[in-house]
Amino acid sequence: MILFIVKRLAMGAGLVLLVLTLIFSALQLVPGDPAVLLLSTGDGGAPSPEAVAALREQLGLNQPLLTQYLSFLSGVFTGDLGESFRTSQPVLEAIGARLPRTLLLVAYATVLSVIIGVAMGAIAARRGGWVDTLVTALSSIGVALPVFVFGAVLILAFSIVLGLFPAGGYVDPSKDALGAIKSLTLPAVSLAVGFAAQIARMTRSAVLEVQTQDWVRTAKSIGLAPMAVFRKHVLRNSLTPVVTVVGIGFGTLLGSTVLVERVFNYPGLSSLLVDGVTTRDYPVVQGVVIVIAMLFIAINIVVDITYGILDPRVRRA
Amino acid sequence: MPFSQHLNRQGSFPARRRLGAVAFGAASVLVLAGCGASDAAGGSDGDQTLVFGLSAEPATPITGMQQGGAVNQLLTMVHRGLMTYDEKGAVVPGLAESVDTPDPTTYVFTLRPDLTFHDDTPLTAENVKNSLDYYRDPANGSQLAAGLKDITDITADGDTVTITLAQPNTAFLQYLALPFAAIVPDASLNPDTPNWIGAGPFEMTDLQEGIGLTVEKNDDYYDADDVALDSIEVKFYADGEARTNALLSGDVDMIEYVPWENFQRVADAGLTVDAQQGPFQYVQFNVTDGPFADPKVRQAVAYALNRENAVTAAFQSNGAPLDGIIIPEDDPAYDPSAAELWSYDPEKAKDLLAEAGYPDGFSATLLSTSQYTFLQDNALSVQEDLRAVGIDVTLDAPDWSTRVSKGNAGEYDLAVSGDAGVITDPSYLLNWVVDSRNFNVGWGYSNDTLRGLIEDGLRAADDDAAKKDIYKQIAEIWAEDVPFASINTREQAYAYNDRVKGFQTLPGFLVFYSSLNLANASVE
Repeated sequence: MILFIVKRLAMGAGLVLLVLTLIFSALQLVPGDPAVLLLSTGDGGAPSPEAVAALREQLGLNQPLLTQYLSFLSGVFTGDLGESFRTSQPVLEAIGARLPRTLLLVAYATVLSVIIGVAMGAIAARRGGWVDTLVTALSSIGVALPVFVFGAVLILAFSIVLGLFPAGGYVDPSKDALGAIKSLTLPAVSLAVGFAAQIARMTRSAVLEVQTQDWVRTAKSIGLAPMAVFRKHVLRNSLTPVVTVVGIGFGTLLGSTVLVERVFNYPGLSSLLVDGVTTRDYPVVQGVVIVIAMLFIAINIVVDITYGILDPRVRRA
Repeated sequence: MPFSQHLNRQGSFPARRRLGAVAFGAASVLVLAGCGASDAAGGSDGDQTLVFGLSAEPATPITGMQQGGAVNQLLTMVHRGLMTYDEKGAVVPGLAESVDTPDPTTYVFTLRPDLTFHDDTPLTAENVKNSLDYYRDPANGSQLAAGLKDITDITADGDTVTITLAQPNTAFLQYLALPFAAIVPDASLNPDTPNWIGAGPFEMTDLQEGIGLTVEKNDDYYDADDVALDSIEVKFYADGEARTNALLSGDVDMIEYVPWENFQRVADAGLTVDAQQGPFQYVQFNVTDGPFADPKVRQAVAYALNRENAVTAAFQSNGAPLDGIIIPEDDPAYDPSAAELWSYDPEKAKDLLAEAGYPDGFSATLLSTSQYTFLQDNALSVQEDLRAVGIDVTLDAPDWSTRVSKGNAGEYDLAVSGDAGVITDPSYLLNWVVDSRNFNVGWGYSNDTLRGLIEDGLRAADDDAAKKDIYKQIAEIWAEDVPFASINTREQAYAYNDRVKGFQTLPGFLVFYSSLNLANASVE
């Protein structure tokens, strides 16, 4: 198991290096000069060539590419992700402020998805009939619904018409817990809906499959209470594939935050990335991508380990 | 068997109930979280805090730089210059108590007594001299360098500052009133110090990464008695839809840059949409070689444009067709005919193309951007109009950053752009007749005659009739040479709920500086 984890970590580190190189090269290929952009933002005049030249010098953009790449790499390994071109703020600091917000949102959405998804999937499998049909139909809609559409509908209904939740923004949970829950709820629900639907489907089919297994029949035949059979033997065994879905889904959720954070004006990591890309703020884009890559790799490792815990056969394999 | 059945019933009910309870619990959390809601914006009576939705997270302000609308909004709150704009957009003294002009090239500013910056240091005539010297030096990358280039000398003496110009300049005081022409402490006169400290009505007190910032009333502001707001809580909303939703749901009291497709929606909700026609859209040409080097072809484009269609498509009619150049109505040079240099006349366009040697048309690329939909929609309209007269146009609509790069490198035949004059004096047109190789100017275009005439207009400080005559000549040349073919003006709007009193937008191009009027606003 330890060897397995070490291998996974080494692979992860290699992947991070690959991602670093890819993102650095990709940014060089993208047209658009950060210095010009910083000095001209659409509705004003154009910057003077002197100002652009001075800023390029200041940002180190006139250095040879290899020098830029090496100083970027050495920066990463010494924990220095540089400073934002646009705000002069250290990138690590910006990520430090934004990452917890996005993780909070994704965690809230995951909890909602798991509770609702597992409950709906289990009910559908156990009750069958019209309940099953309804849950299956709802989950199809849930999977197909684009998050930004659902988000817009939620805002219209719960913010503008009913006035129950704010239409967007962020409230610091340490300052105002209720306000934070309120501002997080609509974005978390719109993130969660597709994921909950996926979990419901997965739970439903897993439960249906496990219910027909020999050990379930055996458990029933020795006179165990059906509820106990369901809880100990059916649901528990059905959750193994669900855990994988949750793990992978966590990554997908992280991706979906790009849209959700935009719709709900949520100042998380994704909006930092989007703003970084549109303003060609290279250090910010590089920093965020590194962090996201590391998160993905970490999630995959955690999923593998959890899988092993839930199903001992995996450890032996 | 009956026993087993009994067990089954006993067992299955709690199971269902438990699962149901979990689902119910989850739903309850959502509902409970939404209950007990107090109004998000506003607060108790008498609390003079305005919540303002800004259209972008602003970059860190750099002294003298033009960094776009969002930064300017903030500068209008924290800064003041020697001159400023009053509620109607007229240039009036700001930090200066009075301005004397003993002759057309000398300006004597007397400072108000006891001026201080936000850091409580006194604001002196020396600071004024240093700030203006910094702004007029092109090496500092200041956007004001061109506007202040006529200054030959600045002297500070006690509480007066005397500025001498090389020649009369009708626009000089307008430049001094711009939000990025503020008087700042000497320590801010470099690109590395964030340009937050000023002597304006509000003082920046809190900046929260990605979220917003707070400015509080500056009690030492020269006109502090007339400032009603205690603070302005600024929140950043880059997305137009999110910004509109925030206003409609009451998260904020006021927003700027209302998306055109939402004007009606906001008005229908009973809120005020306070709009001004100001910025304009136009077709620019790469004139280095090819068909567009020929003024006849540029004229053909100007006659081929169906501007009504463009206004409907891009602005849902919240704009107006523009057939020429804009000269503000309160300017001595104003002549309505300058705005009607061309008309929609596809037949004439075809004739002009034939005269220029392209009876069967030709093909061309049209640069626009997908990032600002109004520019893309305008470009689509232009594309259709030009196809109708035989110019087969291929649209190139990358993101804004790429568009700027391509514009700066001249990688286009035609481009659709939007802009506004920095000041309202018609000399703003200089930007389009001097070949300075940036994305605003038609690639390779320069016209020394036009440039000379515009500069003559600036010198006509004491002679309104002469200025009018000069701009008449400019309009005639513009119609023939077509430095750009204008398409339309757009309404630029602020929107607010009925808590907000005493605010109004500034006219024309000044609309972008309307936050100056927050110093006169209050909330109920």
